[in-house]
Amino acid sequence: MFPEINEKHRESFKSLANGWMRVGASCVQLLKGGEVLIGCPNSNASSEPSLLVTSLGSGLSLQVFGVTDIRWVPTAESMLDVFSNLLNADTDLDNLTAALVETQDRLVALYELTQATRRTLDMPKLLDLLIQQSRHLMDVDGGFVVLKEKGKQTIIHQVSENPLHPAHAEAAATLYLRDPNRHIFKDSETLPANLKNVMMVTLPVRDEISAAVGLFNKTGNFNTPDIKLAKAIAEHIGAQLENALLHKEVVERARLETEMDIARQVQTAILPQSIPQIRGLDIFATSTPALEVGGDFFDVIDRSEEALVFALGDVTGKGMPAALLMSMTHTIIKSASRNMPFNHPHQVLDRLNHDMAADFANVGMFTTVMLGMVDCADCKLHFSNAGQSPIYHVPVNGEPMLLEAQDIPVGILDTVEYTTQSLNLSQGDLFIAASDGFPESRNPAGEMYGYERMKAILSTSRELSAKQIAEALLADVNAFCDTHPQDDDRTIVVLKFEKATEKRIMFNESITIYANYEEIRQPCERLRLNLRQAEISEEIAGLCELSLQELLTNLVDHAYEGNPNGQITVRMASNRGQIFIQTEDAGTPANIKMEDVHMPNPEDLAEGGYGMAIIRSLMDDIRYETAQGKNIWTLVKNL
Amino acid sequence: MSLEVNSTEQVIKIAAITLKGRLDAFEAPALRKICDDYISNEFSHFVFDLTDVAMLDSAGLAVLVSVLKRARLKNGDVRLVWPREEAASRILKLTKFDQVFVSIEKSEIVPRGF
Repeated sequence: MFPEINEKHRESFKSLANGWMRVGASCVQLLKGGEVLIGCPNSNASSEPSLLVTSLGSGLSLQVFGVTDIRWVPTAESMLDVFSNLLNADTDLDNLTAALVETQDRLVALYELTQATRRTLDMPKLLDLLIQQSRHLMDVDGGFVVLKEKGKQTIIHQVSENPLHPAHAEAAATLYLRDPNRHIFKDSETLPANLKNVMMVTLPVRDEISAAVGLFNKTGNFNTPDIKLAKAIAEHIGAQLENALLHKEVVERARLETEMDIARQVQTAILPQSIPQIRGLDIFATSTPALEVGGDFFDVIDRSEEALVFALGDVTGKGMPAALLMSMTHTIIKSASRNMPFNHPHQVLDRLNHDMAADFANVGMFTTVMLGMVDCADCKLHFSNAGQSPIYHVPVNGEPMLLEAQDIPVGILDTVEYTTQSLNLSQGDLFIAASDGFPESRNPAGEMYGYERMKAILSTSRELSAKQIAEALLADVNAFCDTHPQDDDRTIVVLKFEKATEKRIMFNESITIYANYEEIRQPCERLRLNLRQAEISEEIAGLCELSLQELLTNLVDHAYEGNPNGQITVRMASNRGQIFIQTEDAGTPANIKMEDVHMPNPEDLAEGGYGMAIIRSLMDDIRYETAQGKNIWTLVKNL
Repeated sequence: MSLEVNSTEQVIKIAAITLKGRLDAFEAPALRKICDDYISNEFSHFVFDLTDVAMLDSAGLAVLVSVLKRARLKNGDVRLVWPREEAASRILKLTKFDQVFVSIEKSEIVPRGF
């Protein structure tokens, strides 16, 4: 390819032609392919014989008219050489200048790209930049990036006035990724009709992501320098994308760590700091959280000098949601256990499920709970198990027995009727509730600790104290797991029944009446009788009766407002330490704060307002709550 | 006759009411009705003999307080013969009405009550 013939060329040719004129030439012409490039003089009318030399390399010829002497041939050849060299040098110069300008352009563009990408860690923005710069530099219609990661949805990012169908972009990427040495795809081959040409290069991000950049519909065709340029851009953006991904991961990890921290704090905060002890029972409970906190919790709540309630549960999931649900669950269990009528642990689970089922369902989680009440005066253990495992009863003269959960976990169904099971306890009996973190612990070979090993340890350590039994089990699991890290929380409650306390007359009774002044006498008199039989002093019996009478009168007047169909259930129970009186009604909820209740001044001769104040001055604890549309009052008198 | 006699007749109507058993929300309305009748008949002084009341609650107490209030409006009063049972006297102490009602012995009821 020769440059345009310019004035400078004509001048040079003219001075060379003048030399020929002096030896008798009439006209000198430079030709290419039979066409005159330059002539001197410009037009030639001469039909004289001529000398013609041709350079094979450049395809140029020199024709000298009016000279025929063969001796002039070398001179003509030299002149042709000189002239074609001159033209070639000019071509090279032009090419070099053009290349220099283009390189300069590309360098500037790359520099701008670098500057721009440095300021962003945002994936879509980076991909936009990548495509836009490539479009700008290579004069294409548009571009796209396809990101494929195993197990994740393929991401297709496009910038174009006429975007491709995502399937076409993905098809092009698939074609390319199959043979990454082939970069350029031209029409007809495998391309859809709207694609004239496509150039694909790899976007190096990380091994697990296959990513490719496609540029399409270039005016003219893609060439090797385009591939190189596109690769350079892709490499740069790839590194930046890697940074963006890392940044995202670091942020995500920091968030998770914060979450885990909070979860751990929540868990630590709700676990009891000390375990209440009662007569006749050796109890120990502990929880070893895993690095990534699970949702285990436990609690021990004393009910009297001989009775306590214990709970152990495991909220599914990890992190913040598990921690929040765990703390709510724990709170409900704690308050419901305090108000629980003696020996009715299933009522606590009913209440928990009723209150929390919707919350659990919203986040697709649930919790297992084992709730037990041990009563040493009665030598009985009453428990309700919502999916918690493993639970072992080790009778003093028998082998450990695994007790299957009889009910489903809390939070799965809206309505569940939980059940209570009872065990008679003999001196030396063991009862163990643990979380699945024990049997499901693994050793480096991937084997599970399992129920049998647990059973064996319980059998051999049965003579030890509750604390030592728990420690023996923890030590055995740790030894089994060896170097394998702890995957899940390990929580355990061990009860060892030591001996029955002095047997006493107890009562635990429930009466349902219609809400009127006449019927409320029944539970009042019944309470009096029960207390008398339990050999509780007349004074205490009298003040309990008065409190119940006042409470019931209040319910007739305010909860039911005289509605004769209203019903009230009165539960009364007593053990060595406390008297519990509980009423349940379905009337209007009470709007009263006990701490605001004060005895009216007698000088004012008020004709009402004494009832609750009387109860407040006589009882040791008064609680009010509403659950499942029922109003529940609980009065406690310490003995 | 030099003796000058100026006499005014003042009739004080005293109702002495003896109660037995349980004076609670169930019985209170009946007692209230009885007392209302006395008050309509110009009785201004009341003696409630609570000796054999087994149990007294705030509804029963409210009747006594109501009677006292209305008796005072007629310059009258209410006196109580203290219950024997703790279950009945407890509420009077708790509410401090033992310092408002004047208590008398059973033997003082009539006629030396006032």
